[in-house]
Amino acid sequence: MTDESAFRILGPIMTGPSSSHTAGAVRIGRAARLLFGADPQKVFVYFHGSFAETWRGHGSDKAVIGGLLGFKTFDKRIKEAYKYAKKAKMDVILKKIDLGHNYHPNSIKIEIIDEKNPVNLIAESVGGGDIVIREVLGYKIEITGKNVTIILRHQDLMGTLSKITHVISQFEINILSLQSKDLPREGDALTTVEISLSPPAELKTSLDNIEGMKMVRILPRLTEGEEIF
Amino acid sequence: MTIDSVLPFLKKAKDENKSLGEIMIEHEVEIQGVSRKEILNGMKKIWSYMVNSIKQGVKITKESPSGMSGGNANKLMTYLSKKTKKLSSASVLKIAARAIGIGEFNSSMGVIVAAPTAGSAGVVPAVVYTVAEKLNASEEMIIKGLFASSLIGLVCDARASTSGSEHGCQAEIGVSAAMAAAAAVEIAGGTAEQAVNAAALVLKNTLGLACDPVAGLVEVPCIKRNGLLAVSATVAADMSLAGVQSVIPFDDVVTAMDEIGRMMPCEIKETSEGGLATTKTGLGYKLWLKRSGERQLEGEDEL
Repeated sequence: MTDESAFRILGPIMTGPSSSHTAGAVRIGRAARLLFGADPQKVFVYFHGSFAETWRGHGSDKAVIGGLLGFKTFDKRIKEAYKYAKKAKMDVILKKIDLGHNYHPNSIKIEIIDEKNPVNLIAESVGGGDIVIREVLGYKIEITGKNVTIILRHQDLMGTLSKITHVISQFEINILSLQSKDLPREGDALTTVEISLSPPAELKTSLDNIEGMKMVRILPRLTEGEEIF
Repeated sequence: MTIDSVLPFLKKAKDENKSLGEIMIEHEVEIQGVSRKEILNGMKKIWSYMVNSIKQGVKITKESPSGMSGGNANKLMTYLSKKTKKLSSASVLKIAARAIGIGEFNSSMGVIVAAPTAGSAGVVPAVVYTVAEKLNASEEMIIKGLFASSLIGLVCDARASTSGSEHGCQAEIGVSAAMAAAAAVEIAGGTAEQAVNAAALVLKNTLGLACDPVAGLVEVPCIKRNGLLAVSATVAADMSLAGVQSVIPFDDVVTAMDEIGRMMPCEIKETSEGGLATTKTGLGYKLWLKRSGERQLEGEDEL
């Protein structure tokens, strides 16, 4: 949104009380759900730093749970997130964690437990409801959720990155940024690609078909549906 | 591009003989490149959430999870409904009650509109709603009032800040009160000059205000401050309509806010390391909340 807009001052519409400890926590929970790609059944949520101290007064627990249920920041069901979690048969265990000084004081770690496809992430709530995902599946990366983000886990084979960019360009989608990290002991790499548009469903299939591809997730913009226009 | 002065907008309003709200609607249409109707509908959506927060807030009777807030807007409305003599007029008490109610709704995880922040979200809606009710103003006038208020917020943001952690509470509640005063003048049919002057009058009165929230929560002193500053904003609007001039013009007041914000120690800029937060009572709340929160995370207490 442009700096000159009235809606930058009157807005966002959000669940209170705090943009960083509530709205940001909703987005972190939702990011974890989107990364998992299904309805989570068992989740560990770890509060670091300021979250560990003030989560209760800010309703950060309900906020993360709401996000894990797929709610957006202005969803009035967030307030009753425990009730909806029970309905969805989602078991959430809250814990305190010390991630050390390298992490922002407002950080949350989330682990979604699953036999086939467990996921975990560490994300920071950096103010005004903005978040930065710092770690996905143990890979140190940076995702802000301000654009559509493709997250790919694949074997670290020669030429995979060029295949990925080739597939994306076939859909006439503009790549805004690309990061790739490998985790030596696993022999796998994690690649994230920010793109400008919501892609058609066929993109996921095409990416899945790349040799050595193990996981494809396409995260929508985390602010989606929250803007006035 | 940012908007760092009210002057070009005041000139335009004067030259074209239009109100501040109208000028800001035209500006928004221009920068967004969408129709006037879409722009107005966007603000109507904002307003509908504001109205809901007013209606929900005054109904709250339960305490917040911290035990520091909740039920005070309802107390004021109940007091107002009794036949006993009141010291303030009914509309003044309604403004205070509605602003406090939004603050309580916010701290109980209600859905609010940040204006300019969540902690100061009560002032603009409470003033606009009550002034419009009193003057029997149309929704169109309300929307214009909100647009007029946006210029004030934008200039404060560009010239200083609208964040308590950067410039203290003057940048949150002070800005919200200045915005509300401008909106009230617009709704009452005042000129752009009068709207901006009202904003200057009330903003001056909040300069240097500490942001020292108890236990780091958006409750004490934030919620009741919303009520009291909403009343100040309305009186500032009346003063401006009566012809009372701020000697220091609005842009300069914002520059002063910026300067004072930079001089303020970080202990009273949202860190909860000074002021009310570190009083004996304030620290007691902090310790109790921290312990009970951590006990729950470590599985010693049930959630």
